[in-house]
Amino acid sequence: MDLVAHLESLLLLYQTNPPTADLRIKGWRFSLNEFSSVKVGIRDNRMGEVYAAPSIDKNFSGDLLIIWPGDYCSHTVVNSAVIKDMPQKLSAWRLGAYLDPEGAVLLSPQSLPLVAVEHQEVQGIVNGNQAPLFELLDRYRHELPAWGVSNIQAGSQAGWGVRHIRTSSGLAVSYAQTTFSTYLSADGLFSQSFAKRRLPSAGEVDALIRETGEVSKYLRQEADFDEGETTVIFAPQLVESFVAKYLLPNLSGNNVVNHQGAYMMNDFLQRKKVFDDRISVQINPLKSFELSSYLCTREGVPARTQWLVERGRLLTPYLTVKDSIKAGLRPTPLPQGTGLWLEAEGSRRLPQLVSGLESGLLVYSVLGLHTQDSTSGNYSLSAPQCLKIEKGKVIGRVKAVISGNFLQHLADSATLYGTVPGANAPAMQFECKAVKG
Amino acid sequence: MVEETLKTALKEAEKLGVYIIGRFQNAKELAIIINNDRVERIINEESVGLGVQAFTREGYCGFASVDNPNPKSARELVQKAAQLAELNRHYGGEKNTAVFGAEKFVTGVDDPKPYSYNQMDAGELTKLVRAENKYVLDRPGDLSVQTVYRQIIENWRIVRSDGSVARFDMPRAVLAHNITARREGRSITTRSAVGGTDIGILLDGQRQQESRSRAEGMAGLAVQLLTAPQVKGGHYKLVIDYALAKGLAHEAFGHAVETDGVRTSILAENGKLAIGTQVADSKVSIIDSPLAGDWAYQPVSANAIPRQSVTIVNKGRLAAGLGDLFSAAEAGVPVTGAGRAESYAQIPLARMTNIRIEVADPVPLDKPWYAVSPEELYRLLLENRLIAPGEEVYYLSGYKGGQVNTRLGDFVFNCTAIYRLGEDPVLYQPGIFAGKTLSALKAIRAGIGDLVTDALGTCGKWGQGVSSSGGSHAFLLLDQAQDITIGGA
Repeated sequence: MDLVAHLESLLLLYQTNPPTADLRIKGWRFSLNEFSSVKVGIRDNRMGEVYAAPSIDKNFSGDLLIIWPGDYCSHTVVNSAVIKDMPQKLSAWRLGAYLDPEGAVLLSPQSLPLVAVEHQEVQGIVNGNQAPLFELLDRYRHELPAWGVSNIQAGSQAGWGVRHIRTSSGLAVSYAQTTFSTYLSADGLFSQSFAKRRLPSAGEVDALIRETGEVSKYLRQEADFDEGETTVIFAPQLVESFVAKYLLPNLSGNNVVNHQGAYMMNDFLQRKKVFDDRISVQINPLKSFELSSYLCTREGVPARTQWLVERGRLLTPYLTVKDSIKAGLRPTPLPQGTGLWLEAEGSRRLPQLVSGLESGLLVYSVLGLHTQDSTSGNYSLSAPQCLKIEKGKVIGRVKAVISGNFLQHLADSATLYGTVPGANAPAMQFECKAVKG
Repeated sequence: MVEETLKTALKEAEKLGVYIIGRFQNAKELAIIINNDRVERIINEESVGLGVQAFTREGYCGFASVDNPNPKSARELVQKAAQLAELNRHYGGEKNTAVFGAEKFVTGVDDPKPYSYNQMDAGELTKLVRAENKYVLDRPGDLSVQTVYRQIIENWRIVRSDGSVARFDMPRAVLAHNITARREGRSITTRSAVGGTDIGILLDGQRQQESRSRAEGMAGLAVQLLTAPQVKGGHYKLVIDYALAKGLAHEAFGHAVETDGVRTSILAENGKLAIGTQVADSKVSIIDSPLAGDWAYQPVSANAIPRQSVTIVNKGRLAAGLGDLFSAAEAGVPVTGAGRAESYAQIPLARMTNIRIEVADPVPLDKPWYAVSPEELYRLLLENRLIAPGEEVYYLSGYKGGQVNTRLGDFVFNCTAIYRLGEDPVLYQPGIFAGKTLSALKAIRAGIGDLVTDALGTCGKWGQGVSSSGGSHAFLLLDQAQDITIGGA
């Protein structure tokens, strides 16, 4: 049975000719994913061991919004079992429906862009030959020991599926998409990952292995540092995590309209300056083969670039249709995954930041980021694997506890930025408090 | 259909000459989200699926899962899992034969349920949740309150090729408030939560009172924190509340004794748990066990083995590990039924359930922990000669989660607020508590009050999230230690 067509027919039936009057539907939309993924891992140098055994999962699920007369809504997660049982479920959903005038609005279909979100080679792995997943892990196992790495954790995963979006206002789109990710971690000291909708190139795999080996080698040498106000460089992967923690929720339209973020709606309407002039933040779902890319949101908002912050000034939060109505603004594309791109004008390259550092710390990872309060921007974190830099040279590993305010760092004109080719965020250099951890 | 599906899977496995563990899960969830007295969303979710873990005779493993299983898809699933096991062998994967020597269990757990999952419809529940949201919203201050109520029921049916069968339910419910206070361009968010197994957390008068007291406290704290300074980072004598003590037990110890990670754990020697090592004062013990009625209750492991109560640290000495079937032997400890999986679609890992620190001869406390003010806490410590007059002591309150690197023994957890104790306590912004597994417990000097074990959360490990809970005495006193650092200005 074609479940998508079946669901569509059922919903149309309940719109036009329901079995009882109280079950007449006014409108609906759904977004369903048929998805298969395969993965295998290394735990403690052991490939395919029982906790990281080669695995395959097949799943069909998504979300369904039903709009009843009077702007009542029912929101449910659907899968094949629920779809087959829908006539029985609809009565219960009707009873539990809630009044949501802003949520009961459906967009008219708009033309959608072409975005590269499916890679044939990845599809081939999911549907046929899983060898590349094993071969990649084999490379890690054989090459990392040359860097002195004695314990490896790693994984590789490929996914392929079809996304179906339908609305009673006429949107009907189905498109295939792929995902590929791999990570490696060396001796618990340093880890790297790659996650896109395509396979990594040979050069990208070489770089993953080289950087993991090199940095973990430095982190095996102990060093010391002076506590107090310290110059710190956050590596790009750490900045990406901070962007997800501190910018994603504070630029969320839902948090803004509900007064649960750092900024109020007026701040956006007045284009309040909150960051340094060099800083801009955008959603960009058009980038080829990025995990953050798609053709349209589940509400049918077409993918397009959307600046949220431009030259330090707030422009718009990202907004679902419901929140856009509450805000009085246009709905926007939504970030998928971490999905925000931080751009800093006048950035140097990361090696230049490091070589220009008289004395400071290079931080690759922290413990405890998920426990911080994003609305305040404050952070207080353990950084057990930092590199001490002196006169531009790596000295060795130190353990620090660092504290500061990320939103203030972005506002500070003294903050420096450093790009790394292929990274999703720039590195950042600023002053913060550090004590020995 | 469930029985037929599982029977078909077992038959197919026998035909192919593989050993399987089949995990059938049926799950339902209702989530009600209220923002500032308005219904934001009500979401219903139901899922059903089957995961099959297949082992070749040599012990190579493959795993396959599908949603909405039936006998046909179950047969295909076993074939896929077996093919992946063969692929694993082809690439020189790691073997594990533990399951072939496992004790057979046939077990079904039927815990009494005061309230069923469908006891009340979504409309009635929404009214109750909205009333709780309004109560917090009406506290003093410029507040925004998001209230989330979730109730979940999971039905598990697990079979093994040796004839083992397990059947159990995992009901849980939580009522949480995220409270944002603002003033003059600054904003702070605090959180309070109560959990249990069902809508009793909304209906029972005592639970409602407790929930409101906690939320009221957090709302007031959010307003005060807007103007609170940052503490100076460093090493201090500390008092932590029971929820932070859960964080200490969970992050500093619990993960390090989960047997799937023992090979590289800071608590291991030559790949085995270093049983007998002195890790704390002799009055300190750490216990992990499933508690009926608890947020993290799971009475049977995802490998069909009854879950045991485990005394991990016994009177200061490392005594046991959380033993999963596939790693306990290598870790040198017994299997204790510690395997848990987020869903049918994941391979189980060794996990905690309810983990708590117990300290012998605790100081008595005559009121609930949330009713003890910082001033009263200070006076109690002085009266019991646990601190000297004028001594610098900081009180950390309100657990917000933690993280650990078990290989290096570094762990952290975070609090909501810090007080410098005294006749006039001073409130500070939260700071991270960073410590070392091997020394953190040694700093525990005393327990104050009875055990409170309902500090709830979600534990993330290797991409899987499972419910977790625990606690300790209402408060724990920790000596100043070089290996324990509070982050700050």
